[in-house]
Amino acid sequence: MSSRKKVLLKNKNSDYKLKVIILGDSGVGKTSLMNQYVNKKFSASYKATIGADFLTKEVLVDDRLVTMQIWDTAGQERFQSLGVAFYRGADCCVLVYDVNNQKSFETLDSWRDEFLIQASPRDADSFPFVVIGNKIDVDDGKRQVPQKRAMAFCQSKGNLPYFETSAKEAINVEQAFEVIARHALAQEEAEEYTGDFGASTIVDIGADADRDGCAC
Amino acid sequence: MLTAFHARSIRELSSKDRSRQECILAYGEKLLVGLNNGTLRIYRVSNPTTPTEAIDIECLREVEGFTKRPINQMGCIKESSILVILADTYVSTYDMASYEKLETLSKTRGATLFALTSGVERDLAGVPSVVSRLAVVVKRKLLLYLWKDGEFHDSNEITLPSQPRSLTWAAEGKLCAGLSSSFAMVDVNTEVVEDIPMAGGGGGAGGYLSWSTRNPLATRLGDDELLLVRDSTSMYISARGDPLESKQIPWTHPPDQLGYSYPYLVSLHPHNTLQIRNPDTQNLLQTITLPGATLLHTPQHNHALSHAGKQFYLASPTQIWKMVLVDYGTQIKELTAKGEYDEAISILEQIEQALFVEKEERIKEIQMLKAEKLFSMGKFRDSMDLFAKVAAPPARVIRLYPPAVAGEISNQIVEEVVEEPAPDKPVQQSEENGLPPAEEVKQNGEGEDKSSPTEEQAPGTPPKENGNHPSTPDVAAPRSSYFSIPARLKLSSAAAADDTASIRSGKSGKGDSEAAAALPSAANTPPPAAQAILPPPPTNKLEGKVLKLAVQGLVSYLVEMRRKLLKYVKPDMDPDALGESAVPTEDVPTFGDAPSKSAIDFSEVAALLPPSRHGGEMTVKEQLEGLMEMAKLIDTTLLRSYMFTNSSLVGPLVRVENFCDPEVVHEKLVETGRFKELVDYLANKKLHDKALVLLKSFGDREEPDEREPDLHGPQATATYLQKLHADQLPLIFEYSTWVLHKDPKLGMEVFVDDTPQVESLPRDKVLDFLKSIDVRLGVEYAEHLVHELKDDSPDYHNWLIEGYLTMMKETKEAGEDGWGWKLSPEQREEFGVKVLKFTEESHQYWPEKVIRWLPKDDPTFYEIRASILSRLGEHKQALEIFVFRMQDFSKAEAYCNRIHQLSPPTSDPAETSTETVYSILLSLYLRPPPNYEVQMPPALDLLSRHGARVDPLESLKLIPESIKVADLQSYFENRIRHSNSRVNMNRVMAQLYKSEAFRWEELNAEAKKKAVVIGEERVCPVCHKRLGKSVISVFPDGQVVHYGCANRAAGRKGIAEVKEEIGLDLGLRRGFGGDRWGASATGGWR
Repeated sequence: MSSRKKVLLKNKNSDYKLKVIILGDSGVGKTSLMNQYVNKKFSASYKATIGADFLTKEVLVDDRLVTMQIWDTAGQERFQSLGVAFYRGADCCVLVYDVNNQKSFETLDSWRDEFLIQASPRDADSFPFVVIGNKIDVDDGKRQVPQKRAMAFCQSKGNLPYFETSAKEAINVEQAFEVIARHALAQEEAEEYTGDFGASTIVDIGADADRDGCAC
Repeated sequence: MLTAFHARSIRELSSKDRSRQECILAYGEKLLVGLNNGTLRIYRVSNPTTPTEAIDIECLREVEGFTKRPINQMGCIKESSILVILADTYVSTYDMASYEKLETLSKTRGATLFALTSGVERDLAGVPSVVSRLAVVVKRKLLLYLWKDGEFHDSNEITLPSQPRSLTWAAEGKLCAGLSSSFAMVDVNTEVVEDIPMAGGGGGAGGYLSWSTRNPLATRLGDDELLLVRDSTSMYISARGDPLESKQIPWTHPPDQLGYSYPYLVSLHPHNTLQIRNPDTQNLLQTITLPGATLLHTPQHNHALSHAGKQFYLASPTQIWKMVLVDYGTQIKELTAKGEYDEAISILEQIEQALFVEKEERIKEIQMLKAEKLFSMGKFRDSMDLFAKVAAPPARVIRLYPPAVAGEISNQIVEEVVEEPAPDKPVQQSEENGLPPAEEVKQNGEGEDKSSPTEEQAPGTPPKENGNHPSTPDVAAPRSSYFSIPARLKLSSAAAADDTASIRSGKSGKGDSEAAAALPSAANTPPPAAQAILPPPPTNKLEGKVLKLAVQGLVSYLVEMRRKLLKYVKPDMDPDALGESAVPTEDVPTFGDAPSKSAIDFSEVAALLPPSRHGGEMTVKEQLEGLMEMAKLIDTTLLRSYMFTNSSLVGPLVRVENFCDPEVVHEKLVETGRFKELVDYLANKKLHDKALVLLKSFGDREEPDEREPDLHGPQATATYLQKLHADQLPLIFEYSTWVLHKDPKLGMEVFVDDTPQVESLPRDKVLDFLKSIDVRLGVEYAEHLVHELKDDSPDYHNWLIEGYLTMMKETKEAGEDGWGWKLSPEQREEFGVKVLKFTEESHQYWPEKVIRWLPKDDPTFYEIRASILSRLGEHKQALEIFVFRMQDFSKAEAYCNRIHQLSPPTSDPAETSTETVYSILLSLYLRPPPNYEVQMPPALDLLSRHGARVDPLESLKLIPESIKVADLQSYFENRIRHSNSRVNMNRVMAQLYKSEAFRWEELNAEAKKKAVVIGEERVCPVCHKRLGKSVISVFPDGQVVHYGCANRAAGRKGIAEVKEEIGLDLGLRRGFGGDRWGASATGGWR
């Protein structure tokens, strides 16, 4: 399993292929963030994402060429349409909320928990999450989630990096994804050392021997 | 390895009989046998329903001299009731009923081979008709005939590169011909011949050499697939002739004859061996050796499926065997019993649903068995992926695991119990000795087909032993077929006899029991089902690292299942309510928030459910309950698994929507001291009560509990309470109490934090609560309300004052609640300032009410009282306080200044108001109520400073006679200066008015200078009469009209102009006298 994954993810141009998953309530701007980062485009019209979609972007992280595969998900139904396989091998999870929407902030915690369950990373405590408060371009009076509270949340969840962005005005998007890439890369490298979980060689030998026995 | 067919000898020629059987044909119940002497024998053969049932055979007729020479090949066209016989190098047709020759196809002289097919074909116009085709090989030529709707047509001829040695109809109008060196696909309509390249050794010289000895063989498999065989090389092609994925059949010897008896590929080999294979997996399933068998007859492919398998005969020159198909269910059982799951699945997939009703269920079942096998082989990930793919019932998967993970449904629970007292070796003993009897009991109770699973694995050893006994069934199967003994019986008895019975026998038992479970009576709650119906499959003991891997696999299965289930059920769902509301939705496909797809999806998930208890369709409610039960099992197990492998995921699990069994969660989390997670869990389940008790027990103690030191102190409880919504108010109150006692500041955070939850709490109740705990807290909260939240409700403002006052006036002893305080004078002072400030600033409290709370005689409250009085407009009383009680004249004066500023009298105070605050103060100074002395100096001060704001007459009246004028000097000075300034001011004003008057006069004069000349002839433009000496009006533009006409003209010209006229008109009427103009003009014009 492990080796197959590496073969799949290795790309001839870049050293690493990183899988980044963007999660958050519907309408917080996940697709817009991705589009702003990858295509430098913003569209004011809202179109709900169906299932999941990804864009890739090659970036340099510490002089290493890295291909980021950024998966944008549908915020409408939580984890029901995408199977466990989708989340396997994720290197970083981006939690997005809308600073003008209190509820989207409150659900961050359950997005995070659901992700951990689905992805089942080996070390859940150190799995990189990045929190993004989007839509800061909207009039200050409408803001519902003070920066202070968001920071406190990130602090309490293990010092998660926090960014306030505007996909519309391209504020902070680049910076946020740079950190995302960095964390994802670190995670990918950590995974590489420990290897993907799965069948061990010892077990495999036993299984093969078994098969010999029951051929007819 | 399988008994698919039983060979039943139905006819054996006596040794005296010289004739030899040359050719056989079966259709319907009839069996036609062509003998070497040209005789045709017609038998009727019954179809046994079971392999052991006796087969009736009856010779219906014997047509001697049917043909002159032995029959080479027979075929029938049922649609036209025609028998096609190849004998004596001619193909002839015979009537099927009378066996009389109809026609000899004369062109077929030299025929070696023919092939028949029947089917519905559409002609060019698309009209369907039954078409039977006959292709005859004559040397290199193919002669084609066809019967269309029973009519015979001669058709075309096609010449092939070489003489075909075999001929097989592939599809409508497609014929596959086995040539000497290759196969060719012939399209009979277009006469196109396409060569089919044979992979691997096909063509070329080598091919020629090896193939020359054997005929090319071909058979149709199923509907659209053909198998081509030459020598030992095989190839699958589609009915159109396209090669399919190359799969070689591992023949041991090249087959002599090839056939397809749905769903098996059968081949006759040298040494009279019949091989039965699964065409999809190419595996050999059964080998039957029949002495002398040379003739293979398989049903025509176009025969209805229900007949398939019934017209499978083998014949030797002297003997005929009918191959009786064992029913599919038994076959599948046998395969599964032997652990040949892939084989069983493959065969099942080839069997039509119509022939095997529970096909889908069985496939699922076998896949689960396969997954179990993978599991026992240690391929946990693959096993679990397979389980997840087929959506296996969680109970079944989970019980493969030890109790640490699976809980009470684990099948290792017995072992565990036994194991406790003794170490490994004796346990092994006890297992072997102890378990079989128990299982025998079970066997007796549940019928013969339940063979016993036996724990044969030593803990920790790899599960290889199973594979070491492959020979028993393999040998047993073909043998048993000889003697027509159902394999089942034999196997299970063998298993019972042999203590080393393999895992397969255990599985077979289960396969059956699953079938039993499909019956309506089967119980369907997972745990009982697992114990009552399914004998647990023996698993090797999972331990240590292996177990860890296994559990990791399980996690992925559980998570996947969880995801599927969560689409339909939510932990807070009430199946009763939902069931009710969802019942009508069975017709209308709407369900919850996903209306469009729910109908389908719900049925999809219903497959997860065990069959209904009552037989028929389950109600939605039952389904939901079932699902919820399942979800509970999944989540609970997931929790256990996490505890086992990846405990950091326990937190996320208990925080998201989950169905975990509260008891298990509690037990597990307490066991490992994960109280934080336990609290999260309880919070998630809205069991706030318990969570808070727990938090309290950890927080409210002297020393931090070493299990969860983070929870020490009130912080955790406070944080928890902050997240609660207003509907949990009683709880918030109950559990904030101890926090408030311990750390009032933190406790207050529960009520004053700026989160939406906290802000949504009903303020009045919170205030009441906090008041009841301690006034100080109430005050703090009220301050928060008033200052931070800007709450303008008078209640809070009133109460805030009350609270302040309570705190100031009381010195509370530390009572039983431990709350006591004694304010130091400074603190009191501080509060005093606060209250004063508040009473001055707030406009929301009710002064009438508040004032009653103030103690009359406490100096601290004097000022406050004054402030409230002022709010009431009782300036006199307020000033009295300053003057008499406090003797603080500067404050009194400041008070006056403030009031004066706040509400400056509308007109000049000195002139009109006799009741300014200053005069009130003055009167208090000078005419104090009895018992108070006249306050001369402040009065004089006041007079000197604010004398101007007091009515002089009043004040002079107030000043006693005895006062020296000198003392009043400053007042008078002030007063006079003030008067003087007013005089001067008035003078200035007078002059200003005067100059203004002049200005107007001047303007007036200017206006008067204007004149118009009225001559004799001048007429009024309105009435066109002469103006003469009438009274006139002059418009600003110089127009002159009659006075009376002016109104009309004005009406025409609009009001703006009328106004203008007034001024100009004035001057013209000087004759009427300067004084009158105003009255007349305005009066007349308006």
